[in-house]
Amino acid sequence: MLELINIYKTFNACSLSEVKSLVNFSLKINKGDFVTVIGTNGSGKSTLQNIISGTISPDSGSILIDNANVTNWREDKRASLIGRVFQNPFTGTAPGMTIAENLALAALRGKIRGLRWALRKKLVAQMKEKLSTLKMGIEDRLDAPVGTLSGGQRQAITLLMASWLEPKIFLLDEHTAALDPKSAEKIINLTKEIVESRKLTTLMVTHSMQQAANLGNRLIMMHRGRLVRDIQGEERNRLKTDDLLNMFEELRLLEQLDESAAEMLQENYI
Amino acid sequence: MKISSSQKGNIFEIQVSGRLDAYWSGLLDTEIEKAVHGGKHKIALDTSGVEYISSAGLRILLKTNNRLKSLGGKFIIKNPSANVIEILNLTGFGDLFRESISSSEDDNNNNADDGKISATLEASPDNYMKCTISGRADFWNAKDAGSISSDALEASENVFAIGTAAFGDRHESCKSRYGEFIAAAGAAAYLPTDNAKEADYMISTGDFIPKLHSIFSIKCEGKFSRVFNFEQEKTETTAMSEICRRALELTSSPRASLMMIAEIDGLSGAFLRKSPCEIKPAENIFAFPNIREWLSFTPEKAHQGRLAIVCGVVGSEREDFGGSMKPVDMKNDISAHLHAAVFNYIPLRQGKLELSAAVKGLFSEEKIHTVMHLINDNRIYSGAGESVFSRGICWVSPVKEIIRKGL
Ligand SMILES: Nc1ncnc2c1ncn2[C@@H]1O[C@H](COP(=O)(O)OP(=O)(O)OP(=O)(O)O)[C@@H](O)[C@H]1O
Ligand SMILES: [Mg+2]
Repeated sequence: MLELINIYKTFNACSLSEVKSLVNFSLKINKGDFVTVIGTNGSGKSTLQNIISGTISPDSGSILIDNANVTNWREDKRASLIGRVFQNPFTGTAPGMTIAENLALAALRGKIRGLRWALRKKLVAQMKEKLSTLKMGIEDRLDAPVGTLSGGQRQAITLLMASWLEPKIFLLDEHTAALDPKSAEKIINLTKEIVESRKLTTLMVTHSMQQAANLGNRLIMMHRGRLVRDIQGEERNRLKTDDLLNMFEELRLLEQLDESAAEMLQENYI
Repeated sequence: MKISSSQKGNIFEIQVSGRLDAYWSGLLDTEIEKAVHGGKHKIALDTSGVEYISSAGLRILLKTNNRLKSLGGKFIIKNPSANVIEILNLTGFGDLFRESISSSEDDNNNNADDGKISATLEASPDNYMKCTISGRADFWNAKDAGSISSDALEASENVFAIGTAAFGDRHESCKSRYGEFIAAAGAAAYLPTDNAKEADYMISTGDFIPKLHSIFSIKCEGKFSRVFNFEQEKTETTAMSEICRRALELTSSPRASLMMIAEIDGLSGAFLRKSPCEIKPAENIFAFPNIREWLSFTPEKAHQGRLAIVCGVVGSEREDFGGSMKPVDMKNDISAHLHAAVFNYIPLRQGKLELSAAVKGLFSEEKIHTVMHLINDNRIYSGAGESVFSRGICWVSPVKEIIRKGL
């Protein structure tokens, strides 16, 4: 379904602020896989999603979606293949437009027609149905401007919008991190519901060890632009939050084995 | 509510007053836990000022009573107030604590047992160890992986061994797993290098003796001749190097075998992450960053508060024991090769400790966390230094004979 082959991405190359955001990164994800992505700050998780969506292009390497090589496709050309939700609940929706207008934008993506025309009975009924599954009491407020909703409510609408047309790839980047715990819980339940019921191929970046351990059928860990762990199958099923904490601790220890430690060990290890 | 404590003679006294409800019981539990962990196995709880005890409080009393008894210690409920006596009687616990209840101050004068750990020594000071060195420690200097050979090793009752090994009886089946190992008094553990994250262990039972295959081992066979215990005095900890010096002194020997059970204040060590049989021709395992695939180490002292079984050899000649010895501290006069197995903490039972039973008890009852090779991280500013312990017991014996095998 999604294939990344030997992706390299360096920012500010050859300068003091050079960062190798992705280093020889390869990953193959099957249709319907729900992958949780963890990693330290700056390990390249967002860069990875930006490369998939075409927001930035890799220095080298290729990206295949459904066997089509999309490496040179512009972001807008890939847009119909990809649904995305970010951390900030205020970026995914247009605050001045109504709930109905926002949803219509998502439902009619790629079909540029007048919104008035678009808001036909059938679509409105569909909207009400989907909104009522949120149990947030907003199905009766279709004409309220999105700007009047809470962060949690807006993130829920963003999720609906991003998944409305069943994208081939669903990208979530810490999409509950900016919410209060109660809203975060609601959003994560909604996420699970949407991803599982529509079998969306999903990459979800999270800093929550609970989310990473409890959701999805595969987990990857990134560090300094590299894929350092890829856990699936039986091993993934048995994974607990403690194991994830241990993985981070292992990374921390590994980082401390620097040149001076290497020299010391050469001298002192038998 | 108030909780305070003080050492009175050989009894550690905790004073509580006020209402011992669920909240304060939790705090009292922590206080007692800390005391037991600190080696206080005789505890008196002064309850003269207690007005009320909830079920949570009673639970702590019961738990502490059982725990200290099982450790060979003692739990005393001192100066119980009328309220406390009434609650104990009403709840039916009065009888249980009858013996423990004391109103006198003179419980402290019994000095027959000083509350320290000691050990039985069934053998004479004439005991000694015979040592067999097998294989080569510096596998990274091997021509290629194919030239690394191995040797069988049985972890019998009188064997105290360390090195690089795996459970199994053929080189072929062990090849991908060789890692740090330790064997003592019929038990053995090793840290596999085939991605298994946990140390594996085996204990001899009946006719069964754990079998290992080692590519390098230092095997001491025989009996210990001396035993000593050490205990942290207030803030001081006991360093591995001090224990090594003590071992050589006590055995009046240039080389000694050592086996210790101790509470860890901080371990400094390293362990193999990859089997030596995976080495490629001319590969430098110490080169940075390649070393990260091969070795892990403790950048800061680790496993504080856990229990260690440490085993190995110490001596004044670095070339002894297959050239695998490293200086124990900056003085450079004494070297050692020691491995440690790390277990969950349990208080060491005070009074007599019998080596074989103590080792087997630990292996069979407590979770084993890891096995590592102890090092002295001697980097001046960023080094973790050497391993330190808060209390423990150490068996030593002179090594009188060294046999070199398989070079
Ligand atoms: N547009 C950019 N220009 C320069 N550097 C960038 C850019 N985008 C990312 N980086 C750098 O690349 C590295 C990886 O960033 P990225 O945002 O992918 O990390 P992340 O894993 O998402 O981190 P976080 O957990 O903090 O969100 C960082 O060091 C970051 O500073
Ligand atoms: Mg990010």
